[in-house]
Amino acid sequence: MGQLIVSPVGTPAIRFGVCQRCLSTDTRSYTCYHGQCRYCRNCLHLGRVCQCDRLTEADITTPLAATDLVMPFELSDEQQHVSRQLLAWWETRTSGLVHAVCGAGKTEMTFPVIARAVNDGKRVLIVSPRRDVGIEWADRLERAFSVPITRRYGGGNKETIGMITVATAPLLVNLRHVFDYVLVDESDAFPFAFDLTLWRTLRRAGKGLFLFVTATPTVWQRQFPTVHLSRRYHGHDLPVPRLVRETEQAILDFCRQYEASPRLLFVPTKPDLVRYGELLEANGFVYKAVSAETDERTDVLEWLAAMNGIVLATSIWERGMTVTGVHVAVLDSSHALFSSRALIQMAGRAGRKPTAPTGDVVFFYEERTFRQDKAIREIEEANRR
Amino acid sequence: MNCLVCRKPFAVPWSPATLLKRDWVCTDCERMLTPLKAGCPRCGHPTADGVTCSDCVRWLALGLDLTVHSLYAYDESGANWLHRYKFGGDVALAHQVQEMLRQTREPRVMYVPIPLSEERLRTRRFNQAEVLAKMIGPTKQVLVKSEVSSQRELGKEERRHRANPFTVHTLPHCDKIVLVDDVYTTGTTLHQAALTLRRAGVEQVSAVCLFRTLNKSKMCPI
Repeated sequence: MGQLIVSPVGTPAIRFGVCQRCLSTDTRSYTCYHGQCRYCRNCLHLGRVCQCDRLTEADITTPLAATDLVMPFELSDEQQHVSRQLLAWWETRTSGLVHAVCGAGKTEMTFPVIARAVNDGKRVLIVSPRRDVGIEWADRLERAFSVPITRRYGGGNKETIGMITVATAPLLVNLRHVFDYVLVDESDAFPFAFDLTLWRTLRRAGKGLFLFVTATPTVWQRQFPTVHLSRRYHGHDLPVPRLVRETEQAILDFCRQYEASPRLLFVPTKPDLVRYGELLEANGFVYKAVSAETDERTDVLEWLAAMNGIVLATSIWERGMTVTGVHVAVLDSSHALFSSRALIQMAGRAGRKPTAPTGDVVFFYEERTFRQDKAIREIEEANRR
Repeated sequence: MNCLVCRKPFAVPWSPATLLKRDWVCTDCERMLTPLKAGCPRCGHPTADGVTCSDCVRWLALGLDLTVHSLYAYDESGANWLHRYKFGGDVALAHQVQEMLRQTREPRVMYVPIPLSEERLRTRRFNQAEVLAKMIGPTKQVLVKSEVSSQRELGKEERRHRANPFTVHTLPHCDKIVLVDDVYTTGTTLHQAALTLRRAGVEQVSAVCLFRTLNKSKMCPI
């Protein structure tokens, strides 16, 4: 129980070519000072482990602490229902799924159960798919809780384990059975959805009690007991996407129509950023492009909100970001990379604030796909519920 | 296939070689290291029309003649690469420069890596020069190094006036010895090792070096 460290006693770090820390088979043989040896290339960022090293689990040194909770706002009746259900699951130690639409206030609904778990003397882990989302989680938690929040992601403190830890999955590989309550945010998003090893990592870091929080659960996640929340916290309907045939004129019209508000255009791939960027530039629009390689994503977010600008983004921004009064367009929405879940998430960027509860969402298409239809159908279904 | 250096997937052109080769490097990572073109005939430092550089003139004035074959320029990306390889311990990266190293191979030559001291070898776990030497050809550990402090923070003059830390362990039977090292900065290490070998009775000594540090004062951009 604890963090794996290299020590003179313990189990060999690499057995049968499999790294015992990250379970990767990407181990390479080389000549160590004593002879033939292997090292793991997959977890070099945590310090190299060699076949001749041994791993043991260090004890957790951070003391248990109780916490006070100051809710940032009063939960609505529907949110309270969800939050009570979470507390009941915590009492019976049941894993569960919160299926709440985008912008339902998922973060705040989980605060009571986190506080309960911490006050029971248990450690809580919050896993976010991306660092940006993790930062936002940690900031919100810090305002509500009195215990220090440990930030275990790139740029944060990668070594420590606190009572409440916010982490991205790659930095959990050297943890074993540490966290009593693991809250997986947006668990169907990019790293988890395709990488089975990340899921195994997460399972080893926790003690078997999970809470999945997402707007678009996968079939696998639906096996868990589910609590639904299909209304946003300000009570307005989700904006239903419109389907518009993609022409250059239609895209420019969209940009002109909402001149006075921020506009967010999603594109499927990075080359498309350039392609559509040239189109916008040729017609005199000022825009910024955002992809995984953009370093100052928060700066762009502030610029978008402050200057009412246009941002071209890849699916890196499909979740976990909020801009007041934004209008969303999905360019080339028939692209195979845009699953129905991604489309729902992107549509959910619009109208998240009570001051601007609606927003236009347009799917530009070259061909109609089932994915688009499924996304629209599910949004309408959530509005009916 | 995933790139050896950046570990991102990329398309490998299909050929029978695809089955034989294990370590593929994508074109972006390949371009990171800048190979040295024709320069100083003694150390490979880029100079105008192949004149001997001033560093080497000074070595020649001291009566030390050693030809060093340098492969890459030690610029920023080169330094990053070496840091990952040497201090990060990612030994497999050496396969990226394997082909360039192989091209320097000569017949009936013993490749002798610059040794690490015993303690340094314990902490680093491997001799970075030995891994490179094994990629070129037959290798033998000829030299032994006594414990001295790291040269990394020392200036040029301080480096030159250090006592020779090398001693010869056993001499191999071969026509020529080629020393192998990772970086050539002032050349003190290689020259001291060569001097030790010459004193022990080896007649032909030359050297292969992966990176050559560029002198900033001399305005010769590559």
